[in-house]
Amino acid sequence: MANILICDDERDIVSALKIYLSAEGYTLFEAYTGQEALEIVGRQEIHLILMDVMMPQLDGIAATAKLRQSSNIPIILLTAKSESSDKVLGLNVGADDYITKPFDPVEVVARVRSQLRRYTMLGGMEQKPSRLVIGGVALDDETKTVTVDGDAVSLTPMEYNILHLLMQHPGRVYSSAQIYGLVWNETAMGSESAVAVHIRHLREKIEINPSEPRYLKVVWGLGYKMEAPGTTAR
Amino acid sequence: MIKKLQCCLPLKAVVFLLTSLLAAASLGLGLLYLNCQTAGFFDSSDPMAYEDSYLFESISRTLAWDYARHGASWEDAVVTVEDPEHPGAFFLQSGSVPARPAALWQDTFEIHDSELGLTAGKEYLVTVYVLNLDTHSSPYYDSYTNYQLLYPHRSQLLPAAALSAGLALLGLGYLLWAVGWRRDRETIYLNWQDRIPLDLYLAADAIAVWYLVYYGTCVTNFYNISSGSPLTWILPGLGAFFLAIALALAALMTLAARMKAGRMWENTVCCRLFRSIRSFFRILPFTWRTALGVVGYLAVNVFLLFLLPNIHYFSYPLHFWIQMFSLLALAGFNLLAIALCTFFSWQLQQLERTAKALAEGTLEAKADTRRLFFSLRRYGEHLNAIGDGMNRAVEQRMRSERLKTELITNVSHDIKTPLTSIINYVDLLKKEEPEGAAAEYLDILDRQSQRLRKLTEDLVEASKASTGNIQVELQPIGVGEIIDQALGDYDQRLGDSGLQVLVTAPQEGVAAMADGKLLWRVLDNLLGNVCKYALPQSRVYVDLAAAGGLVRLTIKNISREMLNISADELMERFVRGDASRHTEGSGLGLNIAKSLMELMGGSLALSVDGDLFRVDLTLRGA
Repeated sequence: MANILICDDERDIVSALKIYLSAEGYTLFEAYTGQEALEIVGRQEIHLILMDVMMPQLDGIAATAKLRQSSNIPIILLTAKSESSDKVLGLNVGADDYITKPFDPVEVVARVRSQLRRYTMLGGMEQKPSRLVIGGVALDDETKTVTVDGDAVSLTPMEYNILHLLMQHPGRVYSSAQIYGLVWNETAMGSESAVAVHIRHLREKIEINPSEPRYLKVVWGLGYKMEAPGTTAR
Repeated sequence: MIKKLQCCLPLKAVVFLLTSLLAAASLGLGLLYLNCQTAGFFDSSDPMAYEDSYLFESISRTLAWDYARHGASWEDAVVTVEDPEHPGAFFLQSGSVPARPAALWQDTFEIHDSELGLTAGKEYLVTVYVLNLDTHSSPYYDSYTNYQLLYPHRSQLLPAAALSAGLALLGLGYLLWAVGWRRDRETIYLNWQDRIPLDLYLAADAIAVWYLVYYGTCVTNFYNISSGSPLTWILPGLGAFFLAIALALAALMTLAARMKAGRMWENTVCCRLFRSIRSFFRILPFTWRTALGVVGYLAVNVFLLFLLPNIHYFSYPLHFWIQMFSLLALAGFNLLAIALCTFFSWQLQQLERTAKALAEGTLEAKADTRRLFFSLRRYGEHLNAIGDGMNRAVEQRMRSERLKTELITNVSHDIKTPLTSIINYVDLLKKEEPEGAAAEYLDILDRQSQRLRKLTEDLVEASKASTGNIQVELQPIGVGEIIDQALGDYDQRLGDSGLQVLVTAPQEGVAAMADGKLLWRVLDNLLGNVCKYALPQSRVYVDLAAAGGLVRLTIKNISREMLNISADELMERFVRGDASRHTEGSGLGLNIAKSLMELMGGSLALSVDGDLFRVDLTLRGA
């Protein structure tokens, strides 16, 4: 199984994370400062790092920046700072994901699994023209299957059609009415809220935390779009 | 050394006397030079005899006239009058004609008004035989001695005058440089004469100098018959000039001393008068000042109108000029008054503009006091002081608000770390599957720790939203779209509470200027409240309308509990309906929503009518 490095100056949090992640069968390493984390990465083969931002000596942001000079190990930042500017900073220096404290342990485990899958599967997937891939989400139009980080997800036909539409044009924003028109093949007459409900369900299926979607993003007041994480700041 | 030279009093006194003397001499010599020119001393290059000079001529002519008119006679001169056509035939003679006169003067002219019976209009040959020039009894004696004294030195007069003038200028330079300095003082010392009011001093000095110079000039007219022998005019003339120069020099020195001390203007009668008038005006209340100003204006106008003489005097040149003057003065004065009034009202306008800007909240607004005068300047200063005070207060408040936000943010960060551990270990404990009461307690711990988490998050958000510490990006937002999106997100929770949402919106989309993320947070809070506090199995009405450039969104629901507090109280931070004290939520939701709406330039209003709970959102249309 994968080797995970947990780095946080709060020992209780490190041990709690250890309990959760070891239950999943990962091998765990502990570090209490950024400096220690760098040393362990230099010594051991590490597949993923969970890193706190606010630490004495070398903080998480600086450690991430240093690690990124030599390696592309997935790094998930853990922090009490929840402002969007802090998230942007973390993602900009090279972190792959960002979890705010206090966190839901289930979510942490899910994100860890997702990052590890993407890391280990990278480039292993065969490229077919019928395959659409955005980040960890893959849609095969021939088999009508959708996988997230390699796990198959079962979607209703409507949800599948909406996802197919959005994934054909990554980053493009579709309004509810447009989605309704293109997927239902009808003009929307006040039934656009149905789209929102479907999208909500879709998000619940493909996102780890539907309130903080990584792929299927809500552009409030304008529509929806599919996008790989980190492509837009904010 | 230089300092010593500057401070030596005896030296100054000597230089003063010498300079006065030299300047007086220069003046006298210069005048004598001019007089010599008038006396004809420079008319020919050869040595000139007394008899060829203008001096001899003028006295002889006077003698001839005096005799031919009324028979005046002299000891040492004989005058004869004869017919020019018959020489030798004397009409008149004052004495016997001397065989060898010392000098002779002859001319032909008409003699009017003669008491000696000479015919008017007829020309006579008049001859003056001078017996003696240098006896005391001779009418020529003074004139002759003047000639004897001055003629040999005539060409030395001008160089001598120039030389003494040059020396006097040197002395003047030294005196002006040294004046005011004393050995025992660091600064300029003003002596008694420097303390006399300058204008009085200068006026008196000018009068005295003018009179003395006039006297001196008169005295030194040596070619005049009335001037006496050299002794009688040289000393008085020199004395007068000396005194005049000394006075003028003293005036120059006091001017220099005052200028050096920088107190030219203060010590004058004019200044004192001006100051007392000004302070009188300052003491007067503004109303009285204005009244006095108007009265003064009218008085000047009336005076100038009186100066306008009656029209039939127009032909007299004096009246014409007075009339022209008064007309011009009248026009000028009134134009000045108009300009002054305009300037005054312009200043008032500036003040009003500043005051208006202040009232409208532009606290940086300042009245430019350099361009304000009279009491309006003080007005402007007061206004600026108000602005400054307000500015300071606002700044202080902003700073304290910012500090508060920072404090809350930092504290909440610090709370979050232990909270994470609590939540995680509660979760781990639950996995241990405790039994009985322990499980129940654990549930309470779980619920309360989740509540604490929500509370810290809301606290940060509320303080940021209320201090405007959030980035707002306004852009046209489809309000219908965002309602659909929000309802889509809340579909599950609304369905769980059995709430039915009825949306009324115009067929065509309604766009408003808003920040989508913030508007979602507002709707999130409001719909969250609806799910929490609305009566289950009731209907929720969402109405969207656009009118008059505004977009209005109304959410109405029936409250589950009785609403026993007012809408205003509901909006306050941390206030919830009593009955909802123990349910989830921080009580900050409505407050955050209101702050966010205001940040987007909109508003949020609550109203409670029985059990009907209504929220009105207003945004600017796009």
